[in-house]
Amino acid sequence: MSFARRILGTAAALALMTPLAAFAYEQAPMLDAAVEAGDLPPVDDRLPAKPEVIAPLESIGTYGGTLRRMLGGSNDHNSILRVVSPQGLTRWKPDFSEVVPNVAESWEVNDEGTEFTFHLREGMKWSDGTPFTADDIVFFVDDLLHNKEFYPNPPARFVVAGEAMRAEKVDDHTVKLIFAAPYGTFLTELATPLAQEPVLWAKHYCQQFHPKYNPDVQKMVDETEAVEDWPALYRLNCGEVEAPNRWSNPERPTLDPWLVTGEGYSAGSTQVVMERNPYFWQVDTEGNQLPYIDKLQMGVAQDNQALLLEAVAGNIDMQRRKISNISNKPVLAENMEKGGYKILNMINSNSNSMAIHFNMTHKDPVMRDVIRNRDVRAALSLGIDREEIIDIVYAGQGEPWQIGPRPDHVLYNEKLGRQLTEYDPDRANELLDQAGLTERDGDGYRLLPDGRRFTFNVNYTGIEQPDWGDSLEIIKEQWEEIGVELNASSVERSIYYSRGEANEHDFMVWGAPGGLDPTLSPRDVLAVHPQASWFAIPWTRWYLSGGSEGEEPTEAMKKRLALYDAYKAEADQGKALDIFRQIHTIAAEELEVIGISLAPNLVGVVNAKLRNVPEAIPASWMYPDPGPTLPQTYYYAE
Amino acid sequence: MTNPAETTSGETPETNALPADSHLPVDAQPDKLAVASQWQLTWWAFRKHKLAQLGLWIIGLLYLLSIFAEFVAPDDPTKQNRRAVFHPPQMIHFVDRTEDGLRLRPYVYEMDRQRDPDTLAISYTPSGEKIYLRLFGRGAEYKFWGLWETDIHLFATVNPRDKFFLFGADRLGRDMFSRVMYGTRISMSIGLVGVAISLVLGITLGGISGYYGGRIDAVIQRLIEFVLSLPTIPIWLALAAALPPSWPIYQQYFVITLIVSLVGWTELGRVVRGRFLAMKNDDFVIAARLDGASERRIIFRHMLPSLTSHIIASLTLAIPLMILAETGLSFLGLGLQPPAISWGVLLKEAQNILSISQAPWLFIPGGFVVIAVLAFNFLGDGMRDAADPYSH
Repeated sequence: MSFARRILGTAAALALMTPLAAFAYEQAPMLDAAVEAGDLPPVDDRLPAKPEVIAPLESIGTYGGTLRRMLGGSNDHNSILRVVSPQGLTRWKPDFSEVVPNVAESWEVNDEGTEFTFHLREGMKWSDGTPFTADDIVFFVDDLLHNKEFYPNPPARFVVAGEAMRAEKVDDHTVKLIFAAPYGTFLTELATPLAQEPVLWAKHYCQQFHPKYNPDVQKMVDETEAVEDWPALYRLNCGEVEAPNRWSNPERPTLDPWLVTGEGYSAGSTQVVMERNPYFWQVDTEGNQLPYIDKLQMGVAQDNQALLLEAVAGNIDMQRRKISNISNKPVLAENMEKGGYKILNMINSNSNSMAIHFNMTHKDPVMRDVIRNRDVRAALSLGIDREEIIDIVYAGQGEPWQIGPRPDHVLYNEKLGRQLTEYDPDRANELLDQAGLTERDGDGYRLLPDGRRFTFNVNYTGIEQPDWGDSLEIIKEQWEEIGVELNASSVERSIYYSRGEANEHDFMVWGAPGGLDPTLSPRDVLAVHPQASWFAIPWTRWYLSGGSEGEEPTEAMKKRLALYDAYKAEADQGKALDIFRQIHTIAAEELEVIGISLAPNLVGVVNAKLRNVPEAIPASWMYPDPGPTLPQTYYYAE
Repeated sequence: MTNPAETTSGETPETNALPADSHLPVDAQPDKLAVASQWQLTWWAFRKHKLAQLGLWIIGLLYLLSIFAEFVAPDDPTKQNRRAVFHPPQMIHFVDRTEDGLRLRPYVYEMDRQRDPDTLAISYTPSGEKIYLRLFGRGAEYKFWGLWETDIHLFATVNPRDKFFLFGADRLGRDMFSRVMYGTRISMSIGLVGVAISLVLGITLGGISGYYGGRIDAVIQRLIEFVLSLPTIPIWLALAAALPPSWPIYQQYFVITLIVSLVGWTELGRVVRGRFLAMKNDDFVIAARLDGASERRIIFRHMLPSLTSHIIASLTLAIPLMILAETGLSFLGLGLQPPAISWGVLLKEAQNILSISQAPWLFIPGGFVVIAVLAFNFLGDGMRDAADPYSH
C-alpha cells in the first residue's frame, strides 16, 4: 500500500500546482489562423478545465520547428510509439523511479488493492474535439476486454486470479477498475506501453466497427479487403497498441501530442509526418499549450546503415533507436561537430546484450535430454570466453554476465548474474565428458547418444543486430575447443519469430531485458512471454492458457510461476520484492538462459540546439524511451 | 553475355584497324606458316596480343594463389584476435638498420592498440619493436589439400606468436590477407564450375538441336526461349533464399553455382545450334558422312573445331560474369554467407559506415574483383582474335 500512497501524494502535489480556471492559455502560432477562421475553438475551450501542468526540465520553450527522426523499414511502428509516448492512465517519472498521473488526474486504491478509482480531467477532449469521459474506459472494458471474439484470451496484464478486470462508471469523470484479487503492480503496469488500451480507443469513433453499436458491421467487413471479421476491421481502423495500423488512420481520435497526417505509416511509406494535436491536454508552467514542436517528420530507412548515415549527416534530431549499439560511438563521435549533434547517453536498462535461450522443450528427444542436463549448459557457458567477445564486439564496454538485475539494482542476485562466466574450457570438457558425450567424430566434434554430431543450428536477426552475428562467430570458434558445433545464420525477423514460435530452434538469442526492470520483464526467468521466453515456448503456452495448451513445465518452473502469481497479488512492496528474490534464486539454479555481457550503455544523437532533453535517459521497452522524458516539452533554442 | 552475332568472328567482319595480315607473326616464314598446325597459328597470334598475355599471367597467378591458398595465407582466416581489431595494413620493410649496420631482411613494425575512453575509437601506434618475417616459416596449422597436416607457410613471422597484417585486419581482428587468399579460391572456382556446367549444357543441347533438327530442335529452342525469358535476378534471389539454412555452406555454394549456370548456358546453346545447322550440309561434313564416319566423329572431329574460337571467347567472357554474379548475390546476403569466405562475402562485411570511416582497407577484395574481371576480359579478347588465324 505504501507505494500507491506515495504516488497519491505526488498526484496531490501536482494538483495543487494547477492554475485557476480563469487563466488564459497560449497556443502555437500555427493554430492562430484556424482559430480566427472559426475552424478551431479558442485554446481555453480546447484544454481541459484543469490541464496537466508540466514543469519543463530546463526552461520554458518557444513554439515551432520540426523534430526529424528515422524509422527502420515498414515494421518500426514502435519507434513512433516511443516518441509520441503511450498516453496511458499513468506514466513513468523521467528517472524511471515511479509512476505519476498522466491521462488520469489522480486516483485512490482501496485497502485490499483490488479497486482502483481513477479521476479523469474534466473537459479533456479527444483530438477531434469530442470529450474524453469514463464511457471510453467502460467501452474498452465491457465491449472489448470481455468480448470473446475480440480477445479470445484477455491480455495477462488485465487478468488477476483468472478473471479479467471489470469497470464501473461513477460519474462522467470517475471510473472504478475492479479486480478479483489484489493487483499490487497495476499502477506501474499502466505506465508500460502495452497497458495503454483502456484509454487508447475513442468510443464515439470506434463503436462504428463494433457489432453491439453497429448492426451493419458485417457489411463493412465484407466491403473491406483482407479483413475477415469485425475484430480485424476494428483493429485496422482503430489500431492496436503495438502495430503499424495504429499510425495509418489519420481520422482516428487520439490523446497524443502529435497526430498522423496524410497516409500515415503504412506499407511502402517513405515518410511519416505528424502535426500537433490542437486538443492536447498539457500546458507548461506559463500556460503555453504543449507540444512546443509543430511537427514530427520521420523518414523511412531501409537498413540500419542508412539510418546511421542520416544520423552522422545531422539529419536526425533526436534518436537512439537502431543506432544505439556502442560500437557506433566512434563514428558518431567523429562527426559530431560536422553533423551539429551531441551524443545522447542512454542508460541501458537491459541485463545482457545477448542472451542464449537453450530450448528446454526441444522437439527432438535426444537433443532435449542433452540440453536439459544442467551440466551440459554449465559447460557451454564455461566454454565461452566472454572477455574476448566484449573486447571485440562491444568495444570493451561491459563485463562477463549471465542474466538478471544489474549490480546496482535492489534485486541484484550475484549467482544469477555472475555464475559460470569464467572461461574454463578444461572444466567444460570435463563436464561434457561426465554427461556422457565422450564419443567424437573425425573432426573432433562430440557425438550425441544416437551418433549424430552435437550441433546447434541457430538463427538470429543479423540485419538489426549484426553484433549477435559477430558474437556467435566467436563462440563458434570457442566451442570448437569443447567439441560442440555451432552454425549460425542470419534470417529476416519474421522468419526468426516463426521458427521460434513453432519451437523449431536449438537455442535462440535475443537481448535480455530486466536489468533495471526485472519485475516488469521477467521473461528470461519465467516462461511467461509467448514471443520471447524462447527457452520454453510450450511451458509459456501452458501457463498462459491455464494448463489447457502447451506442455507442463518442470517442477522448478511451476514453482516460479506460482511465486509470480503471488507476486502480482502482493500489495506490500517489500514482500513483493522478497517473492521475486525467490524466483531469481530458482532461476539461477536452473540456468535455462545464459548470457554474454552486461549490457553496455547505449548511444544516440540529439540535435545540439534541442533543449529540455535530459543528459542521460534510461533505455528500455517498459520505459518506452524517450516518451517519458516528455518530447512535447522539447524545443529548439535560437 | 555477348551477342552471338558479334563474337562469331568467322562470319562477321572484324572491326580491326590493323592490316589484315598483321596477326601473322613477322618472323614466321611463309612455308612454315603453310604447314603450321592450327594450335601453333593460334599461339603465334595470341603472343602478339600484349594485354591478353598480361591477363593470362594475372589469371594464372590468381589460380596459383587459390590452389595454394592455405600455404600462401600466413594465418587462419577465421581466427579472431582481440588485439588486432581494425589493425591497419603494415608495410613490409626490407632494409633493416641495426647496430651492426644495414642488413637485408624483411620486417614490419609492431603496432600497439589504444582505445579512446570517450569516443571508444581504436587506434594503433608503432611500439618501436620490429617483427621479422621469413620465407617458409611456421604459423597456423592446416591440412594441405585435405591430405596432410603442416604449419609451413610461404611467409610467416620468425616468432610464430607474432602476427602481421599485410592487408590489415577486420572488425574481429582476422587477417585480411589470409581472408582474401581463401576468398580467391572460392570466387575463382565458382566461376570455373559454373562455366563448365554452362559449357557442357550449351554444347550438348545446342549441338543436338542443330545436328538433328526437326522436333528435337523445336523442343530445345522453346526451352531456351523459356529460360531466356525468365528474369534472372529475381529467380536467383528466390532460389537462393529457398536453400535450407541447415545445409553446410559449401553445399549451398554449389547449388548457387548450379543455379547461376542453369541460366547461363542458353546463349552458347543458341550459337552452337546455329553453327551446326549451317555446317550440317557443308561439303566437308557431307564428305565425312559419305566416308562412313560415325556421328560422334563427325561432330567432335569435324564440326566442333570450327567453333573453337567462339567457345573460347564466350568462355573467357562468361567467367567474370559468374564471379560478379556470385559476388552480387553474396553482397545481397543471398549467396554465400559468413563464415564462408569469398570476395563477395568480404565485400558485404565491408558494407557499413564503420568500415568506410575506420577501416578502408576492408575494400581490398573489391580491387581483386576488378583485376580478375579485367584480366579475363583481356584474355578473352586476345583469344577470340587469335583463335581464327585465317580469318584476317
